[in-house]
Amino acid sequence: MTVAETFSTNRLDAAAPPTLDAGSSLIRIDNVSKHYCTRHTRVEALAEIDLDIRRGDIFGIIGRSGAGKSTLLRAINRLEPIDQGRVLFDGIDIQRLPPRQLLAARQRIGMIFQHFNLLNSATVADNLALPLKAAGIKNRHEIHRRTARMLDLVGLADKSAVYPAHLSGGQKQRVGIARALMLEPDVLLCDEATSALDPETTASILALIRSINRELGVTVVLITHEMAVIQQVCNRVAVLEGGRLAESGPVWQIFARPQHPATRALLAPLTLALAEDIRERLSPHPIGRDGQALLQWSLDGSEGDPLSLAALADRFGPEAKLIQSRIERLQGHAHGQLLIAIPDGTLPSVTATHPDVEVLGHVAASV
Amino acid sequence: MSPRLFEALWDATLETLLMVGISAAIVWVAGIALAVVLVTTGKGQIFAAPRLHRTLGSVVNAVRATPFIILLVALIPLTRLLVGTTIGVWAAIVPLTISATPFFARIAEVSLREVGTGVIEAAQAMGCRKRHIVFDVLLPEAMPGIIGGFAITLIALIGASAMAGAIGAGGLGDLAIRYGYQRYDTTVMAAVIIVLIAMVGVIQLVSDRTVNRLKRR
Ligand SMILES: Nc1ncnc2c1ncn2[C@@H]1O[C@H](COP(=O)(O)OP(=O)(O)OP(=O)(O)O)[C@@H](O)[C@H]1O
Ligand SMILES: [Mg+2]
Repeated sequence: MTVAETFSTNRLDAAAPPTLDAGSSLIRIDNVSKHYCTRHTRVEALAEIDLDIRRGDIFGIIGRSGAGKSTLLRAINRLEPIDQGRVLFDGIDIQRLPPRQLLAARQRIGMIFQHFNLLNSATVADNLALPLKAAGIKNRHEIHRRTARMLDLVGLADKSAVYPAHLSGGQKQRVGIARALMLEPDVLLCDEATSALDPETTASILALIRSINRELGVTVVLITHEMAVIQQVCNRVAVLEGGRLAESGPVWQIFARPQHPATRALLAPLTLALAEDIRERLSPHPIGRDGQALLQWSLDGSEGDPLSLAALADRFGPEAKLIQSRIERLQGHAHGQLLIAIPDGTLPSVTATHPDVEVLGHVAASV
Repeated sequence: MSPRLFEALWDATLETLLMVGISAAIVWVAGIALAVVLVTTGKGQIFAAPRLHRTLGSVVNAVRATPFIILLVALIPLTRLLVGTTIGVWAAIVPLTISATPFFARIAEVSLREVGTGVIEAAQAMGCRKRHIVFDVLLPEAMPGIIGGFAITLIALIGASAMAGAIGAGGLGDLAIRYGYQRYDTTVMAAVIIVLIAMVGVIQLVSDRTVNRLKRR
């Protein structure tokens, strides 16, 4: 059974299937502020945050440690109360709901955690049954049917009677995801859901999250410290810095043209680092007769079609040498940097026609 | 040991089992309830109520600070009110229960506190009612520790029941004092001690097994 089949058959059971008009706003963070008072200090965890998360988004939240990411995520299901502003979930003002309705709203918001937070005293099946209990579903056949189906979805059909202590980290997170999806939520909140996993397991969990998003239409909001995660799965991203929104937008735009220093710092590991042996020989002035100029050309996704090699030769001349490069495809846009060496003699004509090229310096004849 | 003495030992053992058994049943329920209230009314917890939390804490401490032998005497009016007499097995159950409940509650409280805030938050995030959080998350997760703590409480109850025997509650303590202390009959004394050791051993064994079974999963 595919992911979509699993969910849609479930959807049919629901009294009124939720409408899925992609692109409309699902979560609106409206001027949200929140502070913590510790004994000696007052921390502005969130300050005047405005954000719009749309249906179908995989929305990434990044920022340094302590930037307020978790606080923001937890304001969405009101695990964290806020001081000021509104959090609208599908038009509902979550932070001002009476207790009963809050429980109902929370059942439409799934959440997974870095440390999984499964019940150790319950089998996998019983862990999955807890949200159903919360929703007042008591029929044993119904519970069995739904847990079996969801375990199938996350690829753990054979683990139903196992206790979490006997599962690997990746399997525990799959159980966490299955549990979060039991009530067919509109949105899945992920607080560093892959931070405790190795790279391979991370990739498989990300693939699962992406298929849940694509095939089931579940909107995803995720916090991560790994820029690669944002690059791989998110379509939009918000950068927090000291409780403030530094910037937000489509991933390819933010990654290609980071405006805020905080974003640049976070993205630094993704930028091309000049090889050590070249950096040592780099000089600000042209060297000798057959010296070379070192250029960096950043692709910011605005070029449109994939770069053709002929266009590259056109731009930099037939003697240009490609020294280093790193190109990623983000949402259909080429993004990355090229390091190119050209003879010093051709430099003026290249920079004249292509002012977006950055001259890093000069090296002697051979690079 | 004469058949008459053996019969006395048998009767005393049954009396102790009855005294401890009934007290234990009440202590199990009341202690866990008290522990849950103590944990959940704390600051930032699901039923946060600082005043109630502080008051209960003080009462628990006061009872725990009072030596059992003094509690036994101090509670005589209450015992008379509740069971109509101050002598016998039923009269002993009142002070036994009142002294053991706070003791067990504090032990259970520790286990309940060890349940991570993470699982509680996960339950809140999925829209669980507070009642579900207590009965489906807190209690099952803390159960191994609570059972271990209950064994300690049971063993303390057996000790206390022997003391209650001294004020005419019957049971093994009463027997040991009447024969062993007042009549210098060391055989009875030894027999009582052996029975007590056996009781404690069985309790510890059953508890350890149960806890291990729960923890192994
Ligand atoms: N319960 C709390 N009491 C006091 N201060 C808190 C509390 N929770 C968070 N803070 C503070 O609020 C700020 C934001 O915290 P938050 O957990 O949202 O950061 P974060 O971006 O998720 O960090 P990390 O990447 O380390 O998880 C931090 O300065 C933190 O110290
Ligand atoms: Mg965090």
